[in-house]
Amino acid sequence: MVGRHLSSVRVGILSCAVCTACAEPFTVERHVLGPPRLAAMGVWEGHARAAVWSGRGAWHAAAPRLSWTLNGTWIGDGFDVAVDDYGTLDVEVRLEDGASLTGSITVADGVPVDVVRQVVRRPTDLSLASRLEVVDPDPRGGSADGFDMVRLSALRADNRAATTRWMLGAPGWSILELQAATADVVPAQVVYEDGEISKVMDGGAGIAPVLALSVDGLGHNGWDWIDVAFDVPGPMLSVQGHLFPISSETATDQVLSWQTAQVSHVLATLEADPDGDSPTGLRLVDVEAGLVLDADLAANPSPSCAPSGGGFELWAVAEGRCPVSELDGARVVLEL
Amino acid sequence: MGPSVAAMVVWGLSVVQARPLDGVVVERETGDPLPDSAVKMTTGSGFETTRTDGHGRFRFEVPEGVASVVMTISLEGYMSVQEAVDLPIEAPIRVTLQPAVSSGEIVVEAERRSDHAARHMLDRERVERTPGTFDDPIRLVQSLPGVAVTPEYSPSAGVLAIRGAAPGESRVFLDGVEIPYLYHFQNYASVIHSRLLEEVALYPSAFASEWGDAVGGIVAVTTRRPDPARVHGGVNVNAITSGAYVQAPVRDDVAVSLSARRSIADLIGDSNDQYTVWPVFWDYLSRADLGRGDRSVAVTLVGAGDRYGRYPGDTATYDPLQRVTAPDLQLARSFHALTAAGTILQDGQHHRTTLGLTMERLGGGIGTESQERRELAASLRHRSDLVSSDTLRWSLGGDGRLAGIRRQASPERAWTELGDELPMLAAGIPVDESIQRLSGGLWGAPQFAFGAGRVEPGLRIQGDTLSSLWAPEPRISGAYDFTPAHSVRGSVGRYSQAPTADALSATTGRPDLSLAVSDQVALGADFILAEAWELSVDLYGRNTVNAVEVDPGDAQGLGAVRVRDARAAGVELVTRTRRKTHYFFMASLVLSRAQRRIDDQSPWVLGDHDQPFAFNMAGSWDFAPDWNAGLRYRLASGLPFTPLSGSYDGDTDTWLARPGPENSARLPTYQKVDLHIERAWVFPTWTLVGYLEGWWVPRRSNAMYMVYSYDYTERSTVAGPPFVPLLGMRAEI
Repeated sequence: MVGRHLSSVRVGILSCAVCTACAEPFTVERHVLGPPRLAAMGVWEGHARAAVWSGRGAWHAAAPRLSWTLNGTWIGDGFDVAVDDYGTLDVEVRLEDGASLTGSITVADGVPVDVVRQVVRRPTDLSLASRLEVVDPDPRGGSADGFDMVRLSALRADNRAATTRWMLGAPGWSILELQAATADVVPAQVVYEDGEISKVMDGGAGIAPVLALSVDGLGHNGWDWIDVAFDVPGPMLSVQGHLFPISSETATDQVLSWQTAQVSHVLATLEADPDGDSPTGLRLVDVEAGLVLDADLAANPSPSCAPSGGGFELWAVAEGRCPVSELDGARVVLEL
Repeated sequence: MGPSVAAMVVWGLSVVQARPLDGVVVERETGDPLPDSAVKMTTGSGFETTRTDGHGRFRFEVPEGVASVVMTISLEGYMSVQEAVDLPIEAPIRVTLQPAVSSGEIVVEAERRSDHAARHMLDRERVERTPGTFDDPIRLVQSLPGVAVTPEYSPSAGVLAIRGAAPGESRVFLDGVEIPYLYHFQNYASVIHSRLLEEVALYPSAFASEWGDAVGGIVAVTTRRPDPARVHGGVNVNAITSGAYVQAPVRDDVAVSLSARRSIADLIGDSNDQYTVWPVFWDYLSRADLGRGDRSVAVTLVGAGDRYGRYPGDTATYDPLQRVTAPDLQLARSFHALTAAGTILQDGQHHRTTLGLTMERLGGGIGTESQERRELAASLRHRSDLVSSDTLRWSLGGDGRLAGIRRQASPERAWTELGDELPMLAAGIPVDESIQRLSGGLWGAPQFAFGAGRVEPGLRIQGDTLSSLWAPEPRISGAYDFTPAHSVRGSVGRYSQAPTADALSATTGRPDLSLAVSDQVALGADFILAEAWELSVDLYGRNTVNAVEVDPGDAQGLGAVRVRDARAAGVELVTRTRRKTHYFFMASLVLSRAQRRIDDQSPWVLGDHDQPFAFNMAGSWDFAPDWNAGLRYRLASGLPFTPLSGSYDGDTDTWLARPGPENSARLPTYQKVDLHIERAWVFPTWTLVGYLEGWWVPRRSNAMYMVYSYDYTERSTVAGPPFVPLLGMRAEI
């Protein structure tokens, strides 16, 4: 930095270590299901559907009010609004506290998405390159060790090029994309600075919901809810991707062995437990194996808030269609 | 005879014997000898005085046995120097005098004898010691009264928003030819090497008929005529730029200069992150002057280029996968300008003609999507001043610009978030078009002088082929000196500006746009207080209709171009020391308001560069013969902005910005302190100067712009660096 010239020499030293701009970090982050959010939209089997995150967990104390318009014309309120034409579908969501959320989407057929949960070894370095080298997945239905990672893969039912957007309902944990439709969950807060990992802080044990949203940019959206657990002791029952800690007091031994058995559905009583460990705000009690699905469904119809025509769908709890207060004590059929 | 007596004899002999003390007095900056300097030599028993000869030399006869003397050298216009000299000396001593008209003595000087009612001048030598320029005097333009104060190194740092006008409503000229920009990205430096700068003139509003096609202000930069007698040169290096310049006579009537610079900040800080971008930039300037006296030609070749890459979105919302796989935004711009200016002076006539050829490019992209804009323009500018009598002078002239513009863009979607950088990608519309336009004006302005006053009515005819519109622009200015210490000046006139070719584009703009027309008035008064201080008061007002706004951030095809009415008014107070001495001080206070509206039925809202309050203060003090210290302070209202909220886009799982009430929020008040201190060590053949410069901005006062969380539920200010020091040394031979 020294120059010599015909009549003068100038040397300048600028301390560039202080020449950077910065901003205070936000308390909200796209990957984290924190405050209430319109987390996904789509048209499913001819009906408008929105995944509204309550801000508390994968459950709602009161159902949000949805108002739908198609190409600027109101077409209905609620969760069962038919969409009969193409165009732009808009929704306004009014939450329990009066707050409003808005969103829009191009009308197109939704696509089913299934999420596969596996456990993999957690590398010391959580960089993308290091995680790509970890290729020893262990399918796991229950809790993972805190020193491992849970690897989630979203599988679309079609072959359109799409991007998976991952959202995790545990502020102290992190979900780290690995490939276009695969991500790793670690029970730690990973802090990035200028695109590089600067800090990893332990996030503790527990169960948390994950929403995997697959978007192709044209409205062919699909999404699925799934739970991940770290260092949770005891057996867990996996129902439609959600994990429920259970004990012999709430389920028969037969149920506890279902993880390896070919059981299609169970019967359970839903018990509201908003302050408990369950991401869905519910506990399952008196769980027993189902025998004949049609007969069990006839004997244990789903609550009126839920979609009709099958077993009780837990996504209806996560997205606000069925508030936990309406489910408390209901005996339902849960397809596994 | 004892020993003591012998000693007395020896001493006595030494008193009557003498030896010569030779020296030379030279000018510190140039090394030129200084004749007729007063030189005083003080010994223990008295003093002697003499004056330097035509070669700056002096001689004393020093009594033998005197171990040291004190030399005092003084010359009118220079700072006196006092030095102790130990004897004997082996070679003639060399004394350098520093001009009392020290660099930076007067920061802003309004030239009253001008065609323009309001004018601010910056002279390189006079601002060199002003703190906060980082050795780049043109940066000081943004501290002039009427120019919106913006935080350093913010995206708006290089913006020239003059008296409430939008940046695009002002024009920048270099040696009479328009150049596309004056500052490199983020105002890291101007595009002109400071050593080849002669002056910068700012005409903030209500200027004379000579300038046109602008409803804002005019910035006219003049390069320095190469020294026809001596060779100068230099290399300068700091953490921002490195460069070199040389100027030399070639023949008796030909002199040339050349400079080139390149950024080195990008070599030091090689990683662009979310809020800090390290641009790569370069510039060059070459000038050749032919002829002397009444006929001369100056040819200038100037060019500059900038480029940078950065994350295209908010890194906070990026996935780890995206951080690796998402392509960077790449942006590059450059221009080259060749000008040839001929001047003829004869018999009370002054003619100056400038020809220019300019090429500019703005290109960039993200991944496979890119945009490219190229413009090639030829320009002609002429001015003749004809003195008819003691009371009448005619000024006549004209200017024209023929431009060919090529625009291409291949967006796959509307990159609205890149609107400020890549507006064609932001519009989201494929573009492949060529545009030609011829624009210009003819003007005439007689100047009548009567006693202590003068008045200059003028008329300019401004036209443009692309919009097929033309406009007559009557203007009148005048001045009156009540006493040598009290004078007033004023002007009123009409101004017009054609929409840009991009705004008139049939693809991304609105071909039906009309000329922006602005009626402007400016009044000023100048007072000299106790022959030591100057005080100037300026009032201005501006009302503009059909002002074109291009808002690529909201680009949705034609919606990106809007037509507004705008108005602005303000008062500017400037005071400064008048006498050229070992200190200077200046201060300015600007109170203003700038507003705009969509149409007659809409309410007025704040303009983007409304700055109700701006205070500037600068001072410099040569507090000891080899010491100088400077202080500069700025305090200004933050600029308005439109708060945003978000709406979920289910197609892409992103949130789209929804603007709230227009410009209903404001950034925090900005304040900045600049300090400069330097020490010179003078040696017989060279001088070493060490200096320290730095700024301090309280973190809360350095908000550059707003950023929002992924869903627009939270916002935060991006704050610039609070403390930036610059250490330097300069050796002059």
